[in-house]
Formats: sequence, C-alpha cells, structure tokens
Amino acid sequence: MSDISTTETVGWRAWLMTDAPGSRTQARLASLYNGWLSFRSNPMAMAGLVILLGLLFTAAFAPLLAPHDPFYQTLANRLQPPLSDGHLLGTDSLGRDILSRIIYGSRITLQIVFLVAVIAPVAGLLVGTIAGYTGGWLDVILMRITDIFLAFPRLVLALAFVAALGAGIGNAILAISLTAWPPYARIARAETLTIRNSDYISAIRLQGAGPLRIITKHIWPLCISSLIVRVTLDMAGVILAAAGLGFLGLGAQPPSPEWGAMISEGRKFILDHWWVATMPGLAIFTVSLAFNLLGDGLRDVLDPKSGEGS
Amino acid sequence: MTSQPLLSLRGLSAYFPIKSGLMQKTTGWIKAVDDITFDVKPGETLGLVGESGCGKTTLSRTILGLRAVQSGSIRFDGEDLTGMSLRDLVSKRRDMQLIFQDPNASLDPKRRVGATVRAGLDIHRIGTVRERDERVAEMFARVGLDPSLRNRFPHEFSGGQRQRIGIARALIMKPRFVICDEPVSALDVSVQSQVLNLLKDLQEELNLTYLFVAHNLAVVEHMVDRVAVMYLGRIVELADRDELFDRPQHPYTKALIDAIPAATPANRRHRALLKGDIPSPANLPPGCPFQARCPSVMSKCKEKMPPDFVTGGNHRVACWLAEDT
Repeated sequence: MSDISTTETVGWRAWLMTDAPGSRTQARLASLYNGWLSFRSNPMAMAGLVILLGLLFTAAFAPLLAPHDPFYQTLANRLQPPLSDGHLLGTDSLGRDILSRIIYGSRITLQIVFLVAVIAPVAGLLVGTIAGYTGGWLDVILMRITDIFLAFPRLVLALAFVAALGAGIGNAILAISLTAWPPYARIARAETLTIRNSDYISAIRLQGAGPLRIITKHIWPLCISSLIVRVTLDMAGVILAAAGLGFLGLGAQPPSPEWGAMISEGRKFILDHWWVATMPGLAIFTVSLAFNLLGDGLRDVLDPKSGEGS
Repeated sequence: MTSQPLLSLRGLSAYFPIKSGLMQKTTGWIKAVDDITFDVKPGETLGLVGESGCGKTTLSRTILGLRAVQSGSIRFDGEDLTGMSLRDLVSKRRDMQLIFQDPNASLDPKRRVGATVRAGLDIHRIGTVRERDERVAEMFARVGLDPSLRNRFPHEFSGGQRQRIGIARALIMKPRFVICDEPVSALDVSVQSQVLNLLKDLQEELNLTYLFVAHNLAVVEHMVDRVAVMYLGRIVELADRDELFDRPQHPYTKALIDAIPAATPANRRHRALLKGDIPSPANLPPGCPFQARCPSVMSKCKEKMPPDFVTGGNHRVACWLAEDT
C-alpha cells in the first residue's frame, strides 16, 4: 500500500507509467498513455492532430469566429482582394466574406467526414466479415459485388449515384459512402479469413458458439484497429470526393458555403481574382493533409505489425 | 473394461478435394483420414501416434465435428454423431472437448483469459453469472493457476501457463471425452512433464477419457493404456501399450520405437531407421501405403491393401507379415 501512495504523490504521470497497475482502469489508461507518448514523438502526426483540432474548434464556434454573415451579399463590395478593409481573405463574386464562408464550410466538411466515417466502415465490416466467415457462394456473390464497386473510379461512381438520387448534401454523403465501403470489405474479409481458421475460433465453436457470436464477439474486435487506420487515411479522399461533387454542382447546393462549391464559383474569375478559388482550395488541401498525417501516425501506434514504433 | 465403448469409429473417412482449373473442378481427393475403425473405452487413454501429416489432427477434428465426414460413422455414447442435426450436435459437443497443440494460437489475443474460459458457460447459459465466475476461479485453481490472473490477456502468460488455460477452457464444460492434440509438443521439455502430470491427475479426479494424439512415442508411453499407430490416414497397428512396445508387428511401428532416443545408446540393438519421405497422399499406388518405405516389402504388398489381422487378444495390425501368425 505504501508503494501506491508514494507513486500517487509523485503525480499522475508516474501513476500512468507504473509497472504494476493497481486496477484495470489504471492499466487501460496507462496503455493509452503509452500510445499517446509514441504518437507524440511523431511531429508530423502531431501537426495533423493540431490542424484537425483547430478544424473542430472552428466548426464548433463558427458563429463567434466568423467576422461576417456567410450569406450576406453586398454587390458593391464584390471581388475585394485579400487583406482589404474588413475582409481578411477578400470577398467573392457576390460580395460575401470568404473567410466567414470557409469557417462555416468547415461544419459541412466535418459533417460529411463524420457520417462517411461511420457508414462506410460499418457497411464494409458487415459485408467483409460475413463473406469471409461463411465462405462459399455467399462469399463469391458479396465479393463480386465489391469488385464491381471497385472497378469504377470513385468520383465517377459517386457522380452516378448523385445523378440518380438527386443533388444535395445528404445524397452526396450517401453516394460517397456507397463508393467508400468496398476497400473496408476487402480488409475485413482478409482479416476474417486468417482469423476464421485459427485455433481459438475452433475452440469457441467446440464450446457451442454459433456464427453470429463468433463474428460479433471474436472477429469484429480483431478487425477494428486496421479499419480505424484505414478510415483516417481515407478521410482525405472523402473530403476530396465531397469537394469534387460540390465543384460539379452535385453536392451541397448554393448558397451553402461548401468548399468545393466555392471553388466552382471562383473558377470563372480564376485569372483576374485568384483568391476566390484559391482560399477554399487551401482549406481543402490543409484538412486533407492533416488527415493523412494523423492516419500515418495512428497506424504506427495501432498497428503492432509495423515494429516497435522505432 | 467390458462396458460399452464411449467413442466408436467405424470406417471413418475424411477427404480433402483437390481442385484445379478455372471452374475449380474436383480432380481428385486427398485421403487425410481413410477407413478408420477403433473404439475408446470409458476411462481409458488411447494414444494416437504417427508422423506429421499422417492425418492425426484431421482425425481429431473430424471426431469433434469441426470437419465434414466423408463416410463411415462416429458413435459417441451409443449415439451416431454423423447423422445428427446441428442443434443436437452443439449440445453433444459439451461432452467432447479438445486441448490444442499450440497454446499461442488457441487463445483469442484480444480477450481476457477468464472470459475465454468462461465462454462455454456463457454460451450454454449454465448457472448465474456469479456461479460462472466461481467455476472459472475453481477451474483456474485446479489447473494450477492463480484465479486472480483471470483478468489478464494471453500474451501475459508463458507457454505452459497458456496451455493450462487451454486445459481449463476444455474442462470447464465438464466433458467426458477429451482429445489432447499434441498438448505438449509446443512446450519446453521442462514444462512438458508438468502439463502431462496435470492431465493425468485431472483424468483421475474428473473420470475423463482421453484420446491422446502425439508424434512422439516417448511421451505416449507415460500417458496411455493403448496405442494406435497411424500412417497416411490409416491405423496400421493397435495394441495395449506394453504389448505394442514389447512386440511391435508392423515395420512402421518398429521404426517409430527405434527412433526413441535411448538413455544408454551403447547397449541398444540395431536401429531400423526409415528412409525416404511419405509418398504424396494424392495418388497412392495400389496395395499397402507403406510399401515405398518398408524394409521388408513383398510383392503382395504392391497388389493388395493388407486387411486388419488380429494377433493375440487385443493386438491388431494391418500388414501382410502378420498374415501367418
């Protein structure tokens, strides 16, 4: 007991780093803390994390941060260059403040990213584990469907879906999810195939477990970490796809300040008034890059196969 | 030992299809387990010995229903398992458990070992949650592990401890029949005897019947009452332990016994060591499967498969050499 009390006096850091955790929660927190330490030693991943936290902050406090109403048009003030009076990033063709629009646009981007990150991996996990575990004709059918989805370029397929479903942000999210799940299904199936024939699955079958229990309680937990890494690495692609749909006028509809749609509006003036298209473009670039950096860092922490985090 | 056998196999076969070509047509069969007949009596330990790839593991998995039966029958406690519905089979399986060869591969790396051991009770909804936990703690103590280790993960244990967890998982279902699939071959020699002794003690305490699979006759000698020798999916010789070690009849059994390292090599007799490899089980020549490696092969061996000859009481051997005796 004296041992524990002395470590507590040294502080929470020592408590987290102890070799002999006193409780399950402490052990869990300690392993999280260790992961965090190895993540923190990667400056690029930290940069990505900081940018994304900034994005979250911006989206959460958009009304407080934005200097102007993103929808307020003053045609007299149209196409003001950056750093002009009251408009840090200038104004667009309808005289709306570009900075405010980018700030509000972060909400749309986050909404897309979050929903796709929930829908696509879950769908992929379901399809992949069911195909991998049951095998036989069900596997063949499910994986051929996956192949068909993979055979189309992502944006083209999303375009087709939006064209069929109708333009709009909700349908864009749905379309992107529909094009994003096949890689997850592939990963989940590959993991399932290696897990399926392992001895511990045989053991649980001998104890009487059915397929449902085996898939949900034994296969899913083992698939999830590789899917999480894939999700963060995929997010950049999702943002680009969403922006691409917006650019083509099939995603968020005007006057909504979606970044892709903003670029599309700025396209007409790109030679004379470069900032109208460039500023939202930079926002897309920054956020995509941040997701990629974060994903790389997370992979190093979560994937034990890539070594001891050298 | 005149009672009804607990497990009885009659002509049991399990084949793997060989598929080839674009349409995955079955072009042949690998006879991993071929026409196997034997009984296991209640309370005994039957050793199953053979070299790697002879079908020992396939046989044990087929008995447990983890693999499809090609033909023949498996009767457990008087009931035929091969024609049984899945639901009945699940409840029957509680009486038959398996102890795995590789303790590293047989525990789910992401589950706490207590949950792994408890899973069988959870699935069959035996007792309340509290009673299940008590039984897990009891079982841990019985296999020589501190019950407080239940909340750890498999990677925190040594190989011997993991095998004890595997044993606890199998025995918590209160089975009557346990297949030990080379339970010590993945362990250090120093730990092997501990685990073997544990298995023996548990057999006495819990009145278990074992099918003890091994590729090592030396291990088998300490554990079993009778020995079945397997070669390329068939049982070539089956006898009481002492009878088999003293009077082996099949040339393959003789070679296996000669391969046991001796403590005093100087005064051992001539060793009949096998030459050559196991032939491919995909296309065996007619006749005895052992003909290519047999030191005393005859022309008859290349024509007809030897049937089982019974020589003296319980000794059964599938070799033409035993025909006259």
